[in-house]
Amino acid sequence: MRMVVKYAKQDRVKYISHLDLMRTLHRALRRAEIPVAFSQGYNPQPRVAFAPPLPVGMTSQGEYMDVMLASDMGPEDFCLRMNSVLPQGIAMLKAVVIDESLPSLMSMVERALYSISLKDPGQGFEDALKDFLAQTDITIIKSGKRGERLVNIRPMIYHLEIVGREEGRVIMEAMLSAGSKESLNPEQMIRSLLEFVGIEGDPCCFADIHRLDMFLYRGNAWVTPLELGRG
Amino acid sequence: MDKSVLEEILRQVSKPVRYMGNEYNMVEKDPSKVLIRFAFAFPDVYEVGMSHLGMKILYHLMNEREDTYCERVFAPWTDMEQKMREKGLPLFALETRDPIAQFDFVGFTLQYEMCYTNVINMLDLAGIPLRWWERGKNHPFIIAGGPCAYNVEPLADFFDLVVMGDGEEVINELLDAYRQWKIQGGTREDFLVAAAQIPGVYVPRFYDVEYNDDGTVRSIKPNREGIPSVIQKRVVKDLDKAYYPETMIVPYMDIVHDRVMLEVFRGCTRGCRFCQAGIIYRPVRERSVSRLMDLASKLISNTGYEELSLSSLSTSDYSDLENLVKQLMERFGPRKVSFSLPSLRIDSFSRELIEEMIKVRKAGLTFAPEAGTQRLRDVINKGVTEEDLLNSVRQAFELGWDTVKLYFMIGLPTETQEDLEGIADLARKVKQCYFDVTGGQRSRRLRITVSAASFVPKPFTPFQWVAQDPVERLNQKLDFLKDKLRIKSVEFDWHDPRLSFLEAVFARGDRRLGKVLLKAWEMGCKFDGWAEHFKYDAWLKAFDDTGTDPKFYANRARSREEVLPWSHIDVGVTPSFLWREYQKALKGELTPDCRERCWGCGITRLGGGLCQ
Repeated sequence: MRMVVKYAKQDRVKYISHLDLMRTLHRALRRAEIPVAFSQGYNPQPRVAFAPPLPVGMTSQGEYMDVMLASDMGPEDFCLRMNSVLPQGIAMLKAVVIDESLPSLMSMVERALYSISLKDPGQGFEDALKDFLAQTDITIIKSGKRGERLVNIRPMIYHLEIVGREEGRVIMEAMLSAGSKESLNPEQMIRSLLEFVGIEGDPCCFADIHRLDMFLYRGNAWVTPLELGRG
Repeated sequence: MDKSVLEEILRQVSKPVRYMGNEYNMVEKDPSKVLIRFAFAFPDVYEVGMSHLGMKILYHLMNEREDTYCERVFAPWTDMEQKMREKGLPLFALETRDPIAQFDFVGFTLQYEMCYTNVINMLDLAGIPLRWWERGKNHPFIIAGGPCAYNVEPLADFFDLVVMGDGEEVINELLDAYRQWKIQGGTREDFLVAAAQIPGVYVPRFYDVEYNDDGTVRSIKPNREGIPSVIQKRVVKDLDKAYYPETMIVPYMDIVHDRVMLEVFRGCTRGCRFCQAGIIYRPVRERSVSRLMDLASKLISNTGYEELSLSSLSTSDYSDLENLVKQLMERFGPRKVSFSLPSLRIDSFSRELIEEMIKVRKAGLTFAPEAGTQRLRDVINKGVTEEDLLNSVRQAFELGWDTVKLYFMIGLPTETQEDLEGIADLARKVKQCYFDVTGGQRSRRLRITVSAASFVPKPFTPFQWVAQDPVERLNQKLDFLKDKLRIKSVEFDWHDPRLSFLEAVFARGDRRLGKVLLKAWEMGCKFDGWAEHFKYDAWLKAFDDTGTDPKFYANRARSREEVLPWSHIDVGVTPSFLWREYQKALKGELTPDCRERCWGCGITRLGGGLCQ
């Protein structure tokens, strides 16, 4: 049985890396005595996979884990058992059973929606944002395994708008590329935006980024991985 | 504390998870509902400190008490320290993030000498006055335990009290005494006087040390009534009945020993003459297989760990090891739990069992012949022959291992050029073993790592009277080995002799070294055990500025008559036994494992364990 589980990574655990989170969830699966299937071979590994990782320092209410089970169990039961053995700040929200033949979440997910709160740059920010998005080419330097390279991130921004202002902060929502094909870290986008607006300083020191959900394209629509659930 | 300042800092430092707490199984209590707040301090980074078994035991043990909340604190890495100082954020405990300066106790565990400047740095970062006489009634008591606490003299200025020996019982007695003192009210000294009545508790300020003209110690005597003239270490007599946690904190980050640690026994019967642990943890006390199986079940269920290690000083000496491993495999094998036996002697084990075990994981194998010739191995009483070693290595190669590590020491007492050459010879023979097994087939995967550490004479060992080789001499020996070990498939690595020199100074140091530690810390020394932070020149300057000759401590042979700075501490094993062993060492005479017969080391006076 294959299960897709939506979970939250909250403020208290936002500094744990994806690798640490994976290890934490593997151990929680053991504590909860979830019958996880293991790979074959010399060094059997639990068959657990993840949707695109959340960068360190961000919170989320829309993370996904993909677990292959050796024996059947109910999705509600899965969440209940996991939630009783998880550290504070990690919570299983909902699980669904999906078709075992579907490709990996990593390859299916293409977009993620973020809520971004940052110190309000003040009046004129709306116009600057408009100008920022009017560009056809927004080039940033991405550093990866093979060194640094230039990337145009404009095509990876599907949607970016101001949704509110409160207590000297401006709240934005952004739909960005996320997945194995291409992926844009919202922090990099914000840095690029603030540079464009002409604000100095390290933006990651005052931008709070929260992932709302992830999406994949299925049956002519953008849906969340939970909608892969059978029935 | 202003938690938003911490939030801001955490965004800017490497591995913020070190300072976050909130791990699974972390103990949460309402601090306003306890009488005693205890900060268990490990003077190194989180991932090192969290791997320490003693902390796991005492953390959960103290938190069993309703009147006490024990929290953890580690040395922040230098980037974090810098930010904390910039923002004026004092050192805080991970559980509540409250400053440890507000606590009742800050208890350091002293695992190695090169963490001493970190102790000072942590006190400073906490805003706690460094020396005991600078602290007043609103400050915590600064206490210590652990192997280096047996000769704590170089740190005597900094600690209010020190605990000798197994902590499981004495810590409760100490907390009970504190509880009574806190409820009744009294001066700081009142509490220390009361604490000094508890066996195993040492209050350095209640002892005066006098020195001879040549700089050696003349006497160590209590300076007030009712203080014991000798402090005897504590021994937990029955480990089956002793407290052992049924749960452990599961860190998020990858710590050094990230697994369930099951202590199968305490102590060691082998009597290697350089080894301090082999003396100070006597007598050998084993846990029963049934108790271990029970603990293993609970710990694996409560932590979700996928690996369990059987820890002790020499796990293959456990009297029922085969049975234990069999039962563990049967019960946890199906749950895909793997096992590690850190100090396994492969020769004493059935091959089937090893084959079974390594199905799960195959890490490199480590052997510790310690010396290059049989003569020198006899001197140090390492009861291993070349044949033993080569047999074990051959078996390992047959079972498919292709990386082995060989640990040696240089600068051991009586060492000659021949002994150094013996190290290279042994490496060559191990390599030959591999070709014998593979039928002469070359392999690019074969890797033999030869590792050399400089011998550090330690207190409470038969070599406590010995002079350490000077750094220059050790360097010559290393150069010789580097040349001799230019062998294909053999890698050579070594510990910095300068570090071993400082270890030797502080391991056998006296109270006059307190000012050196303070000076070195003022000059920026910390994390000395980390090569990137080791400032040897600053250390030399600290000795110079304080008019201290480090060679007096490290490179000087002591006579049998000399009053050693730790002569008021009784670890059970007597100085006369140690001297006898030293004399036997010089003649190359062996003292077989004391499971065979009793050699009269003196530990039976304290009771407990296999000696009874």
